[in-house]
Amino acid sequence: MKTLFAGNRDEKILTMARREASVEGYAAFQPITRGPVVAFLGIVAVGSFVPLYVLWQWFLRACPPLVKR
Amino acid sequence: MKNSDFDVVIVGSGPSGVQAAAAAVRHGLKVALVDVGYIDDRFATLIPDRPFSEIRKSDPNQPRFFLGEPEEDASDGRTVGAHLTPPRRFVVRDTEELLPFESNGFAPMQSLALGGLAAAWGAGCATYEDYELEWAGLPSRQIYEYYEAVAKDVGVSGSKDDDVSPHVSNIENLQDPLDIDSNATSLLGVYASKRAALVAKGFKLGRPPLAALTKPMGTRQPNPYHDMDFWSDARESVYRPRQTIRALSREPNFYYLNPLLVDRFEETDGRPTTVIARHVKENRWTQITGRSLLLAAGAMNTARIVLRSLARYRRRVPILCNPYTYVPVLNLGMLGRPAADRRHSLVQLTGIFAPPDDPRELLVAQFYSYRSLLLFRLVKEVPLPPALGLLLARLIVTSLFIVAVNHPDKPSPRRYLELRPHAGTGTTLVAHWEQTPAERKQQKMRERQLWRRLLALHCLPLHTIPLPAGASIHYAGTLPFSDDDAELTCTREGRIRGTRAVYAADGSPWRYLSSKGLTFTLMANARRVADIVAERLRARGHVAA
Repeated sequence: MKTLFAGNRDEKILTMARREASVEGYAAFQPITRGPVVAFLGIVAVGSFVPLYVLWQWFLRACPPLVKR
Repeated sequence: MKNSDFDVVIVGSGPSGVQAAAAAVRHGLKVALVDVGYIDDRFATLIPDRPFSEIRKSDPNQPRFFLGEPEEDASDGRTVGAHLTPPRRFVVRDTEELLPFESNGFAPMQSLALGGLAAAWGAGCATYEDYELEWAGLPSRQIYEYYEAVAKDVGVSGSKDDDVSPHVSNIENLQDPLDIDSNATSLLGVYASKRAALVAKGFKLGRPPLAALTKPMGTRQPNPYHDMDFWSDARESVYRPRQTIRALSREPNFYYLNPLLVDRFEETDGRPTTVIARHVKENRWTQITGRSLLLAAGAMNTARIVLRSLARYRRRVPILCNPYTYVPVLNLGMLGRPAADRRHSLVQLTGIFAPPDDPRELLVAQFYSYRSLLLFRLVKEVPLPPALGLLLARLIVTSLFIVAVNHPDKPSPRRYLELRPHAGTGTTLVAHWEQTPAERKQQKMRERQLWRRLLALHCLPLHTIPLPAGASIHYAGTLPFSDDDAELTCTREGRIRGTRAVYAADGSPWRYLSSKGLTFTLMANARRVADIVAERLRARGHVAA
């Protein structure tokens, strides 16, 4: 699956895995837990997950030249 | 090489095999356990006995065991056995080559490891209820006695007095339950406030019985709450069959024979049973003889050995396997709240749902919190750009449960195995596994009912992850108990019809597969079969009374 951002998704996940499984990557992968604001953002994020996904799929279909390298 | 004069030969070192061996050794029988017996020879010494968070903060070696060598984990797209981290991969080593298998979408996990699939077992020790044992064809009163014996041997912790304990923890020999984590504590609090309404709707929540210690037992130590249970067996808190093998190896009447892959058995009138096995490293054949043979290679491989030994090619035998679903669930009560660092990685809570259309066909939902499997695995599953996926994962991870739902299974003519000749490998096991539209519809309906109970607990199911058949890793029913004298069935004692002294000591004879997880009942039944065999040998004067 290609994404808007350059590069293959599997490669990006592999890069992320390498960063996560390292001492240097510790902080960047910690849970974000900052009380009510985060809770609100979380609810918004989850609540908009489905519409975002639908939009994203529509975008992939509608604008292939922008998406594919 | 010829190994002879054993009273009992046991095939397979999984939970059934080792418990049968323990019972037979206790009877004074001369026991051989035949096994391939792969072990983890790469990772065990690499993983420090420290908490996950400390390892993450300071261990420069962490990529070696978190990602594997080479980085086998990050790009692995497996859905069956997704919990198999690199240090657990030895469990499935060489199975594709040595246990050839074909199917139309049934994707089982097989093992040639020391301890079999239980070398990566989640330690669930649910007991079956009377009616479930009866449906499986097992004698309930006897099995309850064997449950206690197994619990003493493996060490089981759990609750005796919560709502699910009458369904899953029906044993006296229980250590105190493991502490649950912040996420599970929050959910149990909501359940307590809505308990009456949920119980009236057939849903109960409580702590699972687990083969993980909260008190020392011999050389094994209580769970250190390091949250490393997917990666290592720190302090041997979690039971693994190799612990029983290690203890038995000190007994003069026990012999562990490996690395041997059993091909078939032969019985000639008036002579002991002969097992023909291949040395997998030296590729030579060997024979082991014994007065009785106990097959405990797992339902599929026990069937493979029996069909090959009796030359029953293209003959269908049934297969049972729990239909299985994963659902990421958001516990809204924990959203944005920090989680305590001290936790274990095993099942935190067990939900039991009695569907209104048949309240005895229970659905079992196992609640796992998510942390030590690393966030990148979550991000991989989220259909968003990785950076956005990571942000979402960091926001929800302390409130996330992965709920694993098992459905019960019973025999169907649409689900079967057969052994076929194969030009390359000699024979191959072929599976056909299919649900009827009515079964699929019923499964979906029950899941939707369960999701409604979760919503009442302020838990939001995000997405049902479809898993191929076989993903539950619970297999049984290939040589079913029968009172009729039918070929490829078992007597109530577990003897395989068409043989003189060959017994199925695993789940092969069960006629019903409860959704509760079968391992604890497998172990109890294996002891029962070993006791039956010992009694018969004693009655024939082969063993001192």
